[in-house]
Amino acid sequence: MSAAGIRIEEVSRTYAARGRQVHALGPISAMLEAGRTTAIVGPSGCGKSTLLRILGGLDRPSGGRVLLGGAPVREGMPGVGVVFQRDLLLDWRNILDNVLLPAQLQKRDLTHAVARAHALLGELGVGDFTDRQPWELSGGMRQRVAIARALLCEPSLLLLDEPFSALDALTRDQMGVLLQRVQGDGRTTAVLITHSIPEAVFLSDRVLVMSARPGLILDDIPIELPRPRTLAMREEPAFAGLTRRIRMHFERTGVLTG
Amino acid sequence: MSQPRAASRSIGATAAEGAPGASRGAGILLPLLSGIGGLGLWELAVRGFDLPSYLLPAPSEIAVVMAEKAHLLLDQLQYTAFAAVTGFVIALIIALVLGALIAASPAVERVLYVWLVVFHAIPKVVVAPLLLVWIGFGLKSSIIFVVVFTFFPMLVNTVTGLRSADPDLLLLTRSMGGNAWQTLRTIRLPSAMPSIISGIKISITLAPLGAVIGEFVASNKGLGHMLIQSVGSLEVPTAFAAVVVVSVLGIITWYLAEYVERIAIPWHASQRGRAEE
Repeated sequence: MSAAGIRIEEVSRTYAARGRQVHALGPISAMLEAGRTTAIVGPSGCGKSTLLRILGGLDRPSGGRVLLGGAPVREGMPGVGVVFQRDLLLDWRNILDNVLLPAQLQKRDLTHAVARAHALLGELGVGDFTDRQPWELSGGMRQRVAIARALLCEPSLLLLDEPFSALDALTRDQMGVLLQRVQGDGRTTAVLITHSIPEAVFLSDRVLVMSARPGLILDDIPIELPRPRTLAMREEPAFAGLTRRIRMHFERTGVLTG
Repeated sequence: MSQPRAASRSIGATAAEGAPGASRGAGILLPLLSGIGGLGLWELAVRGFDLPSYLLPAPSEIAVVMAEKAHLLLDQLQYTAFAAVTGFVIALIIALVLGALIAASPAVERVLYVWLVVFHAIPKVVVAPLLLVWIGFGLKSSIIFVVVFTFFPMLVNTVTGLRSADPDLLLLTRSMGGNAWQTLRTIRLPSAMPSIISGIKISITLAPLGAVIGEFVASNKGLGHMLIQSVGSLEVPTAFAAVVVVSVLGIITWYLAEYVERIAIPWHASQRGRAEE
Protein backbone atom coordinates (compact mmCIF):
# COMPACT_ATOMS: atom_id res chain seq x y z
CA MET A 1 0.00 0.00 0.00
CA SER A 2 1.47 3.39 -0.97
CA ALA A 3 1.85 6.24 1.50
CA ALA A 4 -0.99 8.73 1.81
CA GLY A 5 -0.82 12.36 2.84
CA ILE A 6 -2.91 13.71 5.72
CA ARG A 7 -4.74 17.00 5.61
CA ILE A 8 -5.75 18.36 9.03
CA GLU A 9 -8.40 21.08 8.61
CA GLU A 10 -9.29 23.26 11.61
CA VAL A 11 -9.40 20.25 13.94
CA SER A 12 -10.45 20.88 17.52
CA ARG A 13 -11.53 18.70 20.40
CA THR A 14 -13.60 19.58 23.42
CA TYR A 15 -14.81 17.06 25.98
CA ALA A 16 -16.98 17.09 29.05
CA ALA A 17 -15.32 16.43 32.40
CA ARG A 18 -17.10 16.68 35.74
CA GLY A 19 -19.92 18.72 34.26
CA ARG A 20 -17.81 21.29 32.46
CA GLN A 21 -16.43 21.56 28.96
CA VAL A 22 -12.68 21.20 28.57
CA HIS A 23 -11.11 22.58 25.42
CA ALA A 24 -8.29 20.11 24.82
CA LEU A 25 -7.10 20.75 21.30
CA GLY A 26 -6.93 23.26 18.46
CA PRO A 27 -8.17 24.43 16.17
CA ILE A 28 -5.16 23.27 14.20
CA SER A 29 -4.48 22.84 10.52
CA ALA A 30 -1.54 21.14 8.82
CA MET A 31 -0.65 19.09 5.79
CA LEU A 32 1.46 16.03 6.55
CA GLU A 33 3.21 14.95 3.36
CA ALA A 34 2.94 11.39 2.10
CA GLY A 35 5.86 9.14 2.92
CA ARG A 36 7.33 11.52 5.48
CA THR A 37 7.63 11.22 9.25
CA THR A 38 6.18 14.03 11.33
CA ALA A 39 6.93 14.24 15.03
CA ILE A 40 4.62 16.11 17.36
CA VAL A 41 6.16 17.31 20.61
CA GLY A 42 4.43 19.15 23.38
CA PRO A 43 3.89 19.21 27.12
CA SER A 44 1.70 16.66 28.91
CA GLY A 45 -2.01 17.23 28.42
CA CYS A 46 -1.62 19.36 25.27
CA GLY A 47 -3.78 17.00 23.23
CA LYS A 48 -1.03 15.17 21.30
CA SER A 49 -2.50 11.73 21.86
CA THR A 50 -6.00 13.07 21.21
CA LEU A 51 -4.79 14.41 17.86
CA LEU A 52 -3.19 11.05 17.04
CA ARG A 53 -6.43 9.23 17.77
CA ILE A 54 -8.33 11.66 15.59
CA LEU A 55 -5.82 11.06 12.78
CA GLY A 56 -6.42 7.31 13.12
CA GLY A 57 -10.20 7.68 13.16
CA LEU A 58 -10.32 6.40 16.74
CA ASP A 59 -11.75 9.67 18.11
CA ARG A 60 -14.01 12.25 16.50
CA PRO A 61 -13.00 15.89 16.39
CA SER A 62 -15.45 18.41 17.87
CA GLY A 63 -14.73 20.62 14.89
CA GLY A 64 -12.91 20.37 11.58
CA ARG A 65 -11.93 17.23 9.72
CA VAL A 66 -9.02 14.99 8.76
CA LEU A 67 -8.52 13.65 5.24
CA LEU A 68 -6.25 10.69 4.52
CA GLY A 69 -5.38 10.48 0.85
CA GLY A 70 -8.32 12.81 0.18
CA ALA A 71 -10.93 10.73 2.05
CA PRO A 72 -12.22 11.46 5.57
CA VAL A 73 -10.64 9.19 8.16
CA ARG A 74 -12.84 6.61 9.83
CA GLU A 75 -12.41 4.02 12.57
CA GLY A 76 -10.83 0.74 11.51
CA MET A 77 -9.90 1.94 8.02
CA PRO A 78 -7.41 -0.35 6.31
CA GLY A 79 -3.85 0.81 5.88
CA VAL A 80 -3.41 2.29 9.36
CA GLY A 81 -0.98 0.84 11.89
CA VAL A 82 -0.83 2.08 15.46
CA VAL A 83 1.87 1.60 18.11
CA PHE A 84 0.72 2.64 21.55
CA GLN A 85 2.72 3.66 24.61
CA ARG A 86 2.06 0.22 26.11
CA ASP A 87 2.93 -2.69 23.85
CA LEU A 88 -0.57 -4.16 24.32
CA LEU A 89 0.51 -7.70 23.46
CA LEU A 90 -2.10 -10.33 24.21
CA ASP A 91 -0.80 -12.66 26.92
CA TRP A 92 -2.91 -15.54 25.58
CA ARG A 93 -1.19 -15.46 22.18
CA ASN A 94 2.41 -16.27 21.40
CA ILE A 95 4.61 -13.68 19.69
CA LEU A 96 3.84 -14.79 16.14
CA ASP A 97 0.09 -14.89 16.78
CA ASN A 98 0.27 -11.42 18.33
CA VAL A 99 1.91 -10.04 15.20
CA LEU A 100 -0.67 -11.79 13.01
CA LEU A 101 -3.62 -10.22 14.83
CA PRO A 102 -4.31 -7.39 12.32
CA ALA A 103 -4.12 -9.81 9.37
CA GLN A 104 -6.60 -12.11 11.10
CA LEU A 105 -9.00 -9.30 11.98
CA GLN A 106 -8.83 -7.93 8.45
CA LYS A 107 -9.16 -11.44 6.98
CA ARG A 108 -5.98 -11.13 4.92
CA ASP A 109 -4.01 -13.92 3.29
CA LEU A 110 -2.36 -15.61 6.26
CA THR A 111 0.36 -17.39 4.30
CA HIS A 112 1.74 -14.06 3.13
CA ALA A 113 1.18 -12.54 6.60
CA VAL A 114 3.13 -15.32 8.34
CA ALA A 115 6.08 -14.86 5.97
CA ARG A 116 6.04 -11.09 6.50
CA ALA A 117 5.70 -11.50 10.28
CA HIS A 118 8.79 -13.71 10.37
CA ALA A 119 10.70 -11.22 8.20
CA LEU A 120 9.71 -8.23 10.36
CA LEU A 121 10.47 -10.00 13.64
CA GLY A 122 13.85 -11.05 12.25
CA GLU A 123 14.64 -7.52 11.14
CA LEU A 124 13.68 -6.21 14.57
CA GLY A 125 15.94 -8.74 16.29
CA VAL A 126 13.23 -10.90 17.87
CA GLY A 127 13.01 -13.55 15.16
CA ASP A 128 14.09 -16.31 17.57
CA PHE A 129 11.16 -15.72 19.90
CA THR A 130 8.15 -16.33 17.65
CA ASP A 131 6.84 -19.22 19.75
CA ARG A 132 7.43 -17.50 23.10
CA GLN A 133 4.74 -15.88 25.21
CA PRO A 134 4.82 -12.08 25.70
CA TRP A 135 5.65 -12.32 29.42
CA GLU A 136 8.87 -14.14 28.58
CA LEU A 137 10.22 -11.07 26.75
CA SER A 138 11.75 -7.84 28.07
CA GLY A 139 10.01 -4.47 27.66
CA GLY A 140 12.15 -3.52 24.67
CA MET A 141 11.55 -6.85 22.94
CA ARG A 142 7.83 -6.59 23.54
CA GLN A 143 7.73 -3.13 21.99
CA ARG A 144 9.61 -4.45 18.94
CA VAL A 145 6.87 -7.06 18.56
CA ALA A 146 4.27 -4.28 18.81
CA ILE A 147 6.05 -2.41 16.00
CA ALA A 148 6.13 -5.57 13.87
CA ARG A 149 2.38 -5.97 14.46
CA ALA A 150 1.72 -2.37 13.37
CA LEU A 151 3.80 -2.81 10.21
CA LEU A 152 2.46 -6.26 9.27
CA CYS A 153 -0.18 -5.08 6.83
CA GLU A 154 2.19 -2.55 5.22
CA PRO A 155 0.28 0.49 6.44
CA SER A 156 0.16 3.68 4.41
CA LEU A 157 -0.17 5.54 7.74
CA LEU A 158 1.78 4.59 10.86
CA LEU A 159 0.76 6.28 14.12
CA LEU A 160 3.23 6.09 17.00
CA ASP A 161 1.93 7.25 20.38
CA GLU A 162 5.01 7.66 22.60
CA PRO A 163 6.09 4.14 21.66
CA PHE A 164 9.40 4.20 23.55
CA SER A 165 8.47 6.20 26.62
CA ALA A 166 8.40 3.16 28.91
CA LEU A 167 11.85 1.97 27.85
CA ASP A 168 15.28 2.70 29.31
CA ALA A 169 17.54 5.20 27.53
CA LEU A 170 19.78 2.65 25.79
CA THR A 171 16.88 0.53 24.53
CA ARG A 172 15.15 3.69 23.41
CA ASP A 173 18.11 4.73 21.26
CA GLN A 174 18.31 1.27 19.74
CA MET A 175 14.58 1.26 19.02
CA GLY A 176 14.90 4.55 17.16
CA VAL A 177 17.54 3.05 14.87
CA LEU A 178 15.46 -0.08 14.32
CA LEU A 179 12.30 1.89 13.60
CA GLN A 180 14.08 3.84 10.86
CA ARG A 181 15.22 0.60 9.32
CA VAL A 182 11.85 -1.15 9.17
CA GLN A 183 9.70 1.86 8.42
CA GLY A 184 10.42 1.61 4.72
CA ASP A 185 11.68 4.08 2.22
CA GLY A 186 8.85 6.53 1.76
CA ARG A 187 6.14 3.90 1.63
CA THR A 188 4.64 4.94 4.95
CA THR A 189 3.48 8.27 6.26
CA ALA A 190 4.33 8.28 9.96
CA VAL A 191 3.20 10.47 12.83
CA LEU A 192 5.22 10.20 16.03
CA ILE A 193 4.01 11.59 19.34
CA THR A 194 6.83 12.04 21.82
CA HIS A 195 7.97 13.98 24.87
CA SER A 196 11.60 13.55 23.85
CA ILE A 197 13.03 16.40 21.79
CA PRO A 198 16.11 14.42 20.59
CA GLU A 199 13.89 11.49 19.62
CA ALA A 200 11.61 13.78 17.61
CA VAL A 201 14.55 15.28 15.71
CA PHE A 202 16.28 11.93 15.19
CA LEU A 203 13.28 10.11 13.75
CA SER A 204 11.36 12.73 11.80
CA ASP A 205 11.45 14.85 8.67
CA ARG A 206 9.46 17.56 10.39
CA VAL A 207 8.59 18.51 13.96
CA LEU A 208 5.38 20.22 15.01
CA VAL A 209 5.78 21.91 18.38
CA MET A 210 2.57 22.18 20.35
CA SER A 211 1.56 24.54 23.12
CA ALA A 212 0.04 23.58 26.45
CA ARG A 213 -3.76 23.00 26.52
CA PRO A 214 -5.55 23.76 24.33
CA GLY A 215 -2.90 22.35 22.01
CA LEU A 216 -1.99 24.67 19.16
CA ILE A 217 0.91 24.45 16.73
CA LEU A 218 3.64 26.83 17.96
CA ASP A 219 6.23 25.98 15.34
CA ASP A 220 6.70 23.82 12.30
CA ILE A 221 10.35 22.80 11.94
CA PRO A 222 11.70 20.90 8.93
CA ILE A 223 14.43 18.39 9.81
CA GLU A 224 16.78 18.23 6.90
CA LEU A 225 19.34 15.82 8.32
CA PRO A 226 20.53 13.12 5.91
CA ARG A 227 19.16 9.59 6.13
CA PRO A 228 19.83 6.95 7.31
CA ARG A 229 20.57 8.63 10.61
CA THR A 230 23.04 7.26 13.09
CA LEU A 231 23.21 7.76 16.84
CA ALA A 232 26.50 9.64 16.37
CA MET A 233 24.63 12.32 14.39
CA ARG A 234 23.02 13.46 17.61
CA GLU A 235 26.31 14.99 18.65
CA GLU A 236 26.59 17.14 15.52
CA PRO A 237 25.97 20.90 15.68
CA ALA A 238 23.06 20.74 13.23
CA PHE A 239 21.24 18.25 15.46
CA ALA A 240 21.95 20.30 18.57
CA GLY A 241 20.69 23.43 16.82
CA LEU A 242 17.37 21.79 16.02
CA THR A 243 16.85 20.46 19.53
CA ARG A 244 17.75 23.91 20.93
CA ARG A 245 15.15 25.58 18.70
CA ILE A 246 12.45 23.23 20.00
CA ARG A 247 13.58 23.51 23.60
CA MET A 248 13.44 27.29 23.45
CA HIS A 249 9.70 27.15 22.75
CA PHE A 250 9.16 25.24 25.97
CA GLU A 251 11.46 27.53 27.91
CA ARG A 252 9.64 30.59 26.58
CA THR A 253 6.24 29.19 27.56
CA GLY A 254 7.46 28.05 30.99
CA VAL A 255 7.13 24.32 30.28
CA LEU A 256 10.90 23.96 30.78
CA THR A 257 12.78 26.03 33.33
CA GLY A 258 16.37 26.22 34.54
CA MET B 1 -4.17 -20.46 19.27
CA SER B 2 -0.93 -21.99 20.25
CA GLN B 3 -0.19 -23.10 23.77
CA PRO B 4 2.74 -21.63 25.65
CA ARG B 5 5.87 -23.51 26.48
CA ALA B 6 6.61 -23.96 30.15
CA ALA B 7 7.76 -20.68 31.63
CA SER B 8 11.43 -20.68 32.40
CA ARG B 9 12.54 -20.32 36.00
CA SER B 10 13.84 -16.96 37.06
CA ILE B 11 17.52 -16.41 37.77
CA GLY B 12 16.71 -15.59 41.38
CA ALA B 13 15.04 -18.95 42.09
CA THR B 14 15.77 -20.31 45.56
CA ALA B 15 17.56 -23.59 46.22
CA ALA B 16 14.26 -25.27 47.06
CA GLU B 17 12.78 -24.06 43.80
CA GLY B 18 15.87 -25.30 42.05
CA ALA B 19 15.15 -28.87 43.14
CA PRO B 20 11.64 -29.51 41.84
CA GLY B 21 11.70 -33.22 42.75
CA ALA B 22 12.45 -32.52 46.44
CA SER B 23 9.91 -29.71 46.54
CA ARG B 24 7.21 -31.89 45.01
CA GLY B 25 8.05 -34.69 47.46
CA ALA B 26 7.62 -32.34 50.42
CA GLY B 27 4.43 -31.03 48.82
CA ILE B 28 2.87 -34.51 48.93
CA LEU B 29 4.52 -35.85 52.10
CA LEU B 30 3.56 -33.06 54.49
CA PRO B 31 -0.21 -33.09 53.80
CA LEU B 32 -0.11 -36.92 53.91
CA LEU B 33 1.60 -36.93 57.31
CA SER B 34 -0.78 -34.25 58.54
CA GLY B 35 -3.78 -36.33 57.42
CA ILE B 36 -2.50 -39.55 58.95
CA GLY B 37 -1.62 -37.72 62.18
CA GLY B 38 -5.10 -36.19 62.43
CA LEU B 39 -6.81 -39.53 61.85
CA GLY B 40 -4.52 -41.15 64.44
CA LEU B 41 -5.44 -38.55 67.07
CA TRP B 42 -9.13 -39.02 66.28
CA GLU B 43 -8.78 -42.82 66.66
CA LEU B 44 -6.91 -42.42 69.97
CA ALA B 45 -9.47 -39.93 71.30
CA VAL B 46 -12.42 -42.23 70.51
CA ARG B 47 -10.68 -45.22 72.10
CA GLY B 48 -9.20 -43.27 74.99
CA PHE B 49 -12.49 -41.62 76.01
CA ASP B 50 -14.45 -44.74 75.09
CA LEU B 51 -16.89 -42.76 72.97
CA PRO B 52 -19.92 -44.69 71.68
CA SER B 53 -20.08 -44.99 67.89
CA TYR B 54 -23.52 -43.29 67.74
CA LEU B 55 -21.79 -40.15 69.03
CA LEU B 56 -18.45 -40.29 67.21
CA PRO B 57 -17.28 -43.41 65.39
CA ALA B 58 -13.55 -44.08 65.10
CA PRO B 59 -11.94 -43.73 61.63
CA SER B 60 -11.29 -47.48 61.62
CA GLU B 61 -14.98 -48.16 62.20
CA ILE B 62 -15.94 -45.78 59.38
CA ALA B 63 -13.44 -47.54 57.12
CA VAL B 64 -15.01 -50.92 57.93
CA VAL B 65 -18.50 -49.58 57.18
CA MET B 66 -17.24 -48.08 53.91
CA ALA B 67 -15.80 -51.44 52.88
CA GLU B 68 -18.99 -53.30 53.84
CA LYS B 69 -21.29 -50.84 52.09
CA ALA B 70 -19.01 -50.00 49.19
CA HIS B 71 -21.53 -51.09 46.58
CA LEU B 72 -24.36 -49.07 48.15
CA LEU B 73 -22.14 -46.02 48.60
CA LEU B 74 -20.98 -46.15 44.99
CA ASP B 75 -24.57 -46.46 43.83
CA GLN B 76 -25.60 -43.41 45.87
CA LEU B 77 -22.48 -41.55 44.76
CA GLN B 78 -23.37 -42.12 41.13
CA TYR B 79 -26.82 -40.62 41.72
CA THR B 80 -25.48 -37.58 43.61
CA ALA B 81 -22.61 -37.00 41.19
CA PHE B 82 -24.99 -37.12 38.23
CA ALA B 83 -27.25 -34.50 39.88
CA ALA B 84 -24.25 -32.34 40.77
CA VAL B 85 -22.63 -32.48 37.32
CA THR B 86 -25.89 -32.02 35.38
CA GLY B 87 -27.01 -29.12 37.57
CA PHE B 88 -23.59 -27.52 37.38
CA VAL B 89 -23.42 -27.72 33.57
CA ILE B 90 -26.94 -26.25 33.24
CA ALA B 91 -26.00 -23.41 35.64
CA LEU B 92 -22.76 -22.78 33.72
CA ILE B 93 -24.58 -22.47 30.39
CA ILE B 94 -27.23 -20.14 31.85
CA ALA B 95 -24.58 -18.03 33.62
CA LEU B 96 -22.43 -17.66 30.48
CA VAL B 97 -25.35 -16.72 28.21
CA LEU B 98 -27.01 -14.40 30.72
CA GLY B 99 -23.63 -12.93 31.71
CA ALA B 100 -22.79 -12.15 28.08
CA LEU B 101 -26.20 -10.50 27.59
CA ILE B 102 -25.86 -8.41 30.75
CA ALA B 103 -22.29 -7.39 29.90
CA ALA B 104 -23.32 -6.43 26.37
CA SER B 105 -26.48 -4.51 27.20
CA PRO B 106 -27.10 -2.10 30.09
CA ALA B 107 -30.83 -2.37 29.32
CA VAL B 108 -30.78 -6.13 29.92
CA GLU B 109 -28.91 -5.51 33.16
CA ARG B 110 -31.47 -2.96 34.36
CA VAL B 111 -34.33 -5.37 33.65
CA LEU B 112 -32.68 -8.40 35.26
CA TYR B 113 -30.65 -6.88 38.06
CA VAL B 114 -33.41 -6.54 40.65
CA TRP B 115 -34.54 -10.13 40.04
CA LEU B 116 -31.03 -11.46 40.32
CA VAL B 117 -30.48 -9.63 43.62
CA VAL B 118 -33.77 -11.01 44.99
CA PHE B 119 -32.85 -14.48 43.74
CA HIS B 120 -29.45 -14.29 45.38
CA ALA B 121 -30.80 -12.88 48.65
CA ILE B 122 -33.26 -15.74 49.22
CA PRO B 123 -31.63 -18.37 51.47
CA LYS B 124 -31.21 -21.37 49.19
CA VAL B 125 -32.04 -23.92 51.91
CA VAL B 126 -35.47 -22.30 52.31
CA VAL B 127 -36.18 -23.01 48.65
CA ALA B 128 -35.64 -26.76 49.07
CA PRO B 129 -39.07 -27.59 50.59
CA LEU B 130 -40.72 -25.43 47.93
CA LEU B 131 -39.01 -27.46 45.20
CA LEU B 132 -40.56 -30.53 46.77
CA VAL B 133 -44.00 -28.92 46.37
CA TRP B 134 -43.37 -27.65 42.85
CA ILE B 135 -41.40 -30.47 41.28
CA GLY B 136 -41.85 -33.39 43.61
CA PHE B 137 -39.48 -36.10 44.77
CA GLY B 138 -36.57 -37.20 42.62
CA LEU B 139 -33.59 -36.35 40.53
CA LYS B 140 -35.10 -33.25 38.91
CA SER B 141 -35.40 -31.49 42.26
CA SER B 142 -31.78 -32.25 43.13
CA ILE B 143 -30.56 -30.97 39.76
CA ILE B 144 -32.58 -27.76 40.08
CA PHE B 145 -31.23 -27.30 43.57
CA VAL B 146 -27.68 -27.58 42.26
CA VAL B 147 -28.50 -24.98 39.59
CA VAL B 148 -29.87 -22.62 42.27
CA PHE B 149 -26.79 -23.14 44.43
CA THR B 150 -24.13 -22.75 41.75
CA PHE B 151 -25.55 -20.26 39.26
CA PHE B 152 -24.92 -16.91 40.95
CA PRO B 153 -21.11 -16.93 41.47
CA MET B 154 -20.58 -17.92 37.86
CA LEU B 155 -22.95 -15.23 36.59
CA VAL B 156 -21.33 -12.46 38.64
CA ASN B 157 -17.83 -13.51 37.59
CA THR B 158 -18.81 -13.80 33.92
CA VAL B 159 -20.25 -10.27 33.91
CA THR B 160 -17.25 -8.87 35.79
CA GLY B 161 -14.79 -10.64 33.50
CA LEU B 162 -16.45 -9.58 30.26
CA ARG B 163 -16.57 -5.98 31.45
CA SER B 164 -13.00 -5.81 32.66
CA ALA B 165 -11.22 -6.05 29.31
CA ASP B 166 -8.40 -3.51 29.06
CA PRO B 167 -9.85 -0.42 27.24
CA ASP B 168 -6.53 0.02 25.41
CA LEU B 169 -6.80 -3.51 24.02
CA LEU B 170 -10.30 -2.70 22.80
CA LEU B 171 -8.92 0.46 21.18
CA LEU B 172 -6.19 -1.63 19.55
CA THR B 173 -8.71 -3.99 17.91
CA ARG B 174 -10.79 -1.00 16.80
CA SER B 175 -7.70 0.49 15.17
CA MET B 176 -7.25 -2.79 13.29
CA GLY B 177 -10.86 -2.79 12.10
CA GLY B 178 -12.03 -5.60 14.39
CA ASN B 179 -15.84 -5.94 14.59
CA ALA B 180 -17.85 -6.66 17.75
CA TRP B 181 -17.74 -10.43 17.29
CA GLN B 182 -14.00 -10.47 16.61
CA THR B 183 -13.42 -8.25 19.65
CA LEU B 184 -15.46 -10.62 21.81
CA ARG B 185 -13.53 -13.63 20.53
CA THR B 186 -10.02 -12.19 20.55
CA ILE B 187 -10.09 -9.78 23.51
CA ARG B 188 -13.15 -9.83 25.74
CA LEU B 189 -13.54 -13.58 26.18
CA PRO B 190 -9.85 -14.41 26.80
CA SER B 191 -9.62 -11.42 29.18
CA ALA B 192 -12.69 -12.69 31.02
CA MET B 193 -11.45 -16.27 31.34
CA PRO B 194 -9.59 -15.87 34.68
CA SER B 195 -12.71 -14.35 36.23
CA ILE B 196 -15.03 -16.97 34.70
CA ILE B 197 -12.75 -19.76 35.92
CA SER B 198 -12.76 -18.26 39.43
CA GLY B 199 -16.56 -18.38 39.37
CA ILE B 200 -16.45 -21.98 38.17
CA LYS B 201 -14.06 -22.91 40.99
CA ILE B 202 -16.37 -21.41 43.59
CA SER B 203 -19.46 -23.01 42.08
CA ILE B 204 -18.02 -26.44 41.38
CA THR B 205 -17.45 -27.07 45.07
CA LEU B 206 -21.00 -25.92 45.81
CA ALA B 207 -22.43 -28.42 43.31
CA PRO B 208 -22.10 -31.59 45.48
CA LEU B 209 -23.34 -29.58 48.45
CA GLY B 210 -26.39 -28.45 46.48
CA ALA B 211 -27.10 -32.01 45.37
CA VAL B 212 -26.83 -33.35 48.94
CA ILE B 213 -29.09 -30.64 50.40
CA GLY B 214 -31.57 -31.28 47.58
CA GLU B 215 -31.53 -34.97 48.46
CA PHE B 216 -32.13 -34.20 52.17
CA VAL B 217 -35.60 -32.96 51.38
CA ALA B 218 -36.63 -34.02 47.92
CA SER B 219 -35.13 -37.38 47.10
CA ASN B 220 -35.29 -41.00 48.11
CA LYS B 221 -31.86 -41.71 46.69
CA GLY B 222 -28.37 -40.28 46.76
CA LEU B 223 -25.77 -39.59 49.43
CA GLY B 224 -27.87 -36.82 51.00
CA HIS B 225 -30.81 -39.15 51.43
CA MET B 226 -28.50 -41.87 52.78
CA LEU B 227 -27.01 -39.40 55.25
CA ILE B 228 -30.35 -38.21 56.61
CA GLN B 229 -31.67 -41.79 56.83
CA SER B 230 -28.57 -42.99 58.68
CA VAL B 231 -28.72 -40.17 61.21
CA GLY B 232 -32.43 -40.84 61.73
CA SER B 233 -31.73 -44.47 62.58
CA LEU B 234 -28.61 -43.61 64.62
CA GLU B 235 -26.36 -45.42 62.14
CA VAL B 236 -23.76 -42.72 62.65
CA PRO B 237 -20.81 -44.67 61.11
CA THR B 238 -22.83 -45.00 57.88
CA ALA B 239 -23.61 -41.27 58.01
CA PHE B 240 -19.90 -40.58 58.39
CA ALA B 241 -19.16 -42.91 55.48
CA ALA B 242 -21.57 -40.88 53.33
CA VAL B 243 -19.90 -37.65 54.51
CA VAL B 244 -16.49 -39.03 53.52
CA VAL B 245 -17.76 -39.91 50.05
CA VAL B 246 -19.35 -36.46 49.62
CA SER B 247 -16.06 -34.88 50.69
CA VAL B 248 -14.12 -37.01 48.20
CA LEU B 249 -16.56 -35.89 45.51
CA GLY B 250 -15.93 -32.26 46.51
CA ILE B 251 -12.16 -32.75 46.42
CA ILE B 252 -12.31 -34.43 43.00
CA THR B 253 -14.42 -31.59 41.56
CA TRP B 254 -12.02 -29.02 43.03
CA TYR B 255 -8.99 -30.66 41.40
CA LEU B 256 -10.96 -31.01 38.18
CA ALA B 257 -11.55 -27.25 38.26
CA GLU B 258 -7.85 -26.67 38.92
CA TYR B 259 -7.00 -28.82 35.92
CA VAL B 260 -9.48 -26.94 33.72
CA GLU B 261 -7.89 -23.69 34.93
CA ARG B 262 -4.43 -24.83 33.89
CA ILE B 263 -5.67 -25.88 30.46
CA ALA B 264 -7.86 -22.82 29.89
CA ILE B 265 -5.59 -20.01 31.07
CA PRO B 266 -1.97 -21.21 31.01
CA TRP B 267 -0.96 -17.65 30.11
CA HIS B 268 -2.40 -16.07 33.25
CA ALA B 269 -0.02 -14.82 35.97
CA SER B 270 -1.54 -17.28 38.46
CA GLN B 271 -0.66 -20.25 36.23
CA ARG B 272 2.76 -19.34 34.87
CA GLY B 273 5.34 -21.91 35.89
CA ARG B 274 2.68 -24.38 37.03
CA ALA B 275 3.05 -26.26 33.77
CA GLU B 276 6.27 -27.69 35.21
CA GLU B 277 4.60 -29.04 38.33
